[in-house]
Amino acid sequence: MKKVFLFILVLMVIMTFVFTSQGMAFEKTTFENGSELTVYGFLRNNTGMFTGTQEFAENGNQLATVRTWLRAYGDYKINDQWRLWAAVQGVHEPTYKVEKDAQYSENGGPGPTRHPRWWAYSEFYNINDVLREAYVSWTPNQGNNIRFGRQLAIWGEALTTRVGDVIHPDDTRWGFAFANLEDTRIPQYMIRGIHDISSISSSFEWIVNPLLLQQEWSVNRLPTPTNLGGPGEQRFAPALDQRLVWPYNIGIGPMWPITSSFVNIPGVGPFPLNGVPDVHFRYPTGISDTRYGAKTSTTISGWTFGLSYWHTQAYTALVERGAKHGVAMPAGTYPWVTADIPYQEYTFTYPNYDMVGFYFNKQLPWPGVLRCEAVYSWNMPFNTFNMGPGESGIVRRDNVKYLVAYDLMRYIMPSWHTTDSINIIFEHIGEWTPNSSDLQYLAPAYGSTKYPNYHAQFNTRIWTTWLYNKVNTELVVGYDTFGNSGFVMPSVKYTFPWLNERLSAELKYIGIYGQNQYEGMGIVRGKDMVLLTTQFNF
Amino acid sequence: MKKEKVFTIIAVTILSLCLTIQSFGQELPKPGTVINKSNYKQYAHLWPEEALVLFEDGLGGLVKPINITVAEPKPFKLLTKFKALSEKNKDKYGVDKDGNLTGGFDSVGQPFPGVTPVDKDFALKFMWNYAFNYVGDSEELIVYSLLQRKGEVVRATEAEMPRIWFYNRLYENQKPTYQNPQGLAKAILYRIVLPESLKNTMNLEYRYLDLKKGDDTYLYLPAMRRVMRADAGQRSVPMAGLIVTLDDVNLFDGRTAEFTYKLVKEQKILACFDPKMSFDWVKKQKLDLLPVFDDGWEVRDTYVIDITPKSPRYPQSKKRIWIDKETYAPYHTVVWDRAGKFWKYWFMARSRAKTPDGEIFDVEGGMQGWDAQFGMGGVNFMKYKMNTGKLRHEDFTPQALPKVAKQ
Repeated sequence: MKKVFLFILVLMVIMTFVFTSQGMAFEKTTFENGSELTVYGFLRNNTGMFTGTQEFAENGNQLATVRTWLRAYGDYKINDQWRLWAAVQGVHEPTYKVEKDAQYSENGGPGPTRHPRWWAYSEFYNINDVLREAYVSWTPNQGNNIRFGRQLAIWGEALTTRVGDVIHPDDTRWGFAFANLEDTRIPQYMIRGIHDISSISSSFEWIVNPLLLQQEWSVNRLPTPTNLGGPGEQRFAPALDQRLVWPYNIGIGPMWPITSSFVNIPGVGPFPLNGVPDVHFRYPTGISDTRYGAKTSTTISGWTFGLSYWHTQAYTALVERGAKHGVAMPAGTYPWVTADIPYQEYTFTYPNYDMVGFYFNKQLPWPGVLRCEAVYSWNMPFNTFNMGPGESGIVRRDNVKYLVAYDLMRYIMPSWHTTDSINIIFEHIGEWTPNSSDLQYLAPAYGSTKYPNYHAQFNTRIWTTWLYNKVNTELVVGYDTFGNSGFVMPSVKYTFPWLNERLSAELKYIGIYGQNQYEGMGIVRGKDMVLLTTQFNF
Repeated sequence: MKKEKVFTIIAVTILSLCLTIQSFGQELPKPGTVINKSNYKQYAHLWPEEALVLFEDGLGGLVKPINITVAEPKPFKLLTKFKALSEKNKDKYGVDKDGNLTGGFDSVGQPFPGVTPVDKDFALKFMWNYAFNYVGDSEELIVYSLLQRKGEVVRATEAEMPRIWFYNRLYENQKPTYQNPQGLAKAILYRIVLPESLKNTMNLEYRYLDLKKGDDTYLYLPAMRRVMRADAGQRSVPMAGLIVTLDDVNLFDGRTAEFTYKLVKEQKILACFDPKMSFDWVKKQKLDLLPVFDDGWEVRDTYVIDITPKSPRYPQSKKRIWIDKETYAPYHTVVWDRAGKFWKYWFMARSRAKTPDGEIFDVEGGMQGWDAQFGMGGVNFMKYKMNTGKLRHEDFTPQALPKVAKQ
């Protein structure tokens, strides 16, 4: 299957080059009936090398990725009222020897999505990977538009992370700055309406997402945390938390909430304390889990501002403890098993919750633009350490996330640099969970880590172009108080003047740091890499 | 008696010679004259000095040294309707020491109709008239630009650039002022279609009827599907790899009160009208060098005005502009950098448009120039529909940008 897919992809690449190098094939086509078709997109290759030895590789192999993707957008205007839009892509990665013998080869949620092939992590030919967007747009009159189908809806003001941008789960295979934020989001089937209210210079947007996608694509698609030092793991898997901190759970493998199933017996290994896990998976599905919300936007007197509401589910699974049943290990199986040990139900679940948001941006009276947003949830679900008998281990708490950002774009233009401005963005993002003393952070993987009561991120991006857009240079730096972690990403991009600047090459360094490997960005520390991205636009 | 006669003859002869010598130096070309490298010095007085390199070496090799053909002048005037609107403002308004308008100008017509160099504030008042000149009610404009860095291939950009004016409207609904909740004077949306790497990158610019209120600028970044705000104070940053800045649109589109003005002189100048080289023709060409607007050049009477920014941060220390005395159409501009060195030169190719009531007025048809310090030239071709009545305020809001990108 992978070879067939690769053959098709190569054929499409060759055809793209042949047609577009002539400069003709993908211009807007107007048909006799007045309809119009526009096709455009890009062919991109990311080739990256880890800069440090990857322990799980056990052989010094540091190849991070050789990913080739062809993305095409098609816009077909039937008439002034109706339009079709699609975004398709073909992505190929070879198999990576470092992942051979990986215990968990899938990318996505646990359980039912697991494939029995160790190379599955680098496969992208599921229909949901290929057909990213496909929707019908209806504009009954000027000022009103409704879209039906699989699409992306971007809310929020933050650019370096997600605050009000809450509509879509993530596919983390597109993280690590391989791609833009658009690429990390998983498009969803939705009905989306946008209505202008011109008398007050405003618009109103509403979304209904009935979760028509395959289950694994309606939640975050995450690699399984890796047991560093084990035989083969997924390349971008975060490290597993293996701290031996009593009374929190310890052991090897997925971590469970406190007072759950295992205790480590030296020389023996993990031993079920209360019950042998009987694991289930419950994805959001059906009418009861429909996601929906609305957003306003008003531009007046130089202010742009609005409110939002979104009802959704947690996009990363929580672990819900259920009832005990049956007998998993009869008394006497081992000398220390003096009574029957039952099965204990554990369900990976994605509970519903709600949030409201507010945002604005404004040109300041002095140079610069201020951007702010805040999102508040009164019922955000968390896993808790403090679990009594009969309790599920999931609690709901208040949570606030906010952004304060300052942009200075198209302003600094020193006399030695007259072909573009030097642009600066500074973002401060804070997250506050008032009642967090007993909350777990990312329970399925980091059961021993407390959710921080408050943590702050400070992200800065500085960029400019040279020689009238021939060379782009950029530096992105981020710091998170959670885990004293962050990243540094300098990059330089060169656009070749031939082929009307369709071809570019970018060299980027992605450096990740953190004081440990279970908090903040530290969960992926050690994954520093150098990445070369070449792109051909058509 | 004889001595008096001799003296008179000598005086008349000297006077005649002076007049004749002056007219030798100020010769006007007849229609059909071809001006090129062999004879341009004869007509150097009809050009900005910095433009003469077009004939000498083609902007340093970016174009072939040009041959231009002079055409019969077909001058035209301000539109009758617009002139009538402006006449009501005679002697109603003034300017203060900061260059602002006084007297409660309502943005209808030009504030200083009929102003002449006799007025002590002539240059400033003339530029206020320039700012409020009639350029259209709305425009659906496509701009096709060719750019070339020295030693490299010619590359192309294409952008859709709809524009709408909310004041001085003469033909579409809501005239002369289109009431809108934001109090906008004008809005310009610039959406890149080519090159593909920048497709759907957009710039939305607002200017307000409240002249004391600063401009606002919004950017749409398609890779992020986000609308961002750029600092509106700095309008002299090149747009998306072009030599042109926001303030270079129509050769000068700065906020009037943020600059000082000085009348340098009155000058007859050669200006390009209705060149044969068209938008549709040039799109089909494979070019090694930038083409030049080389026909339709007519002699025009202009005021030459120096524009100096008040802000020391402004990248240009001075801009000199040649503006038609009658119609306020700009024809040439020369720019100097902060150090006072010559930096950029532009000229406009004008086109003639017809109003619904049959009058002819001139509009932008194209623009050509170069960044002399960097060695990059550019030429724009414009194609548009004027006053279609289809553009509305809602088409120019930040909320509209993702819809325009069809994302």
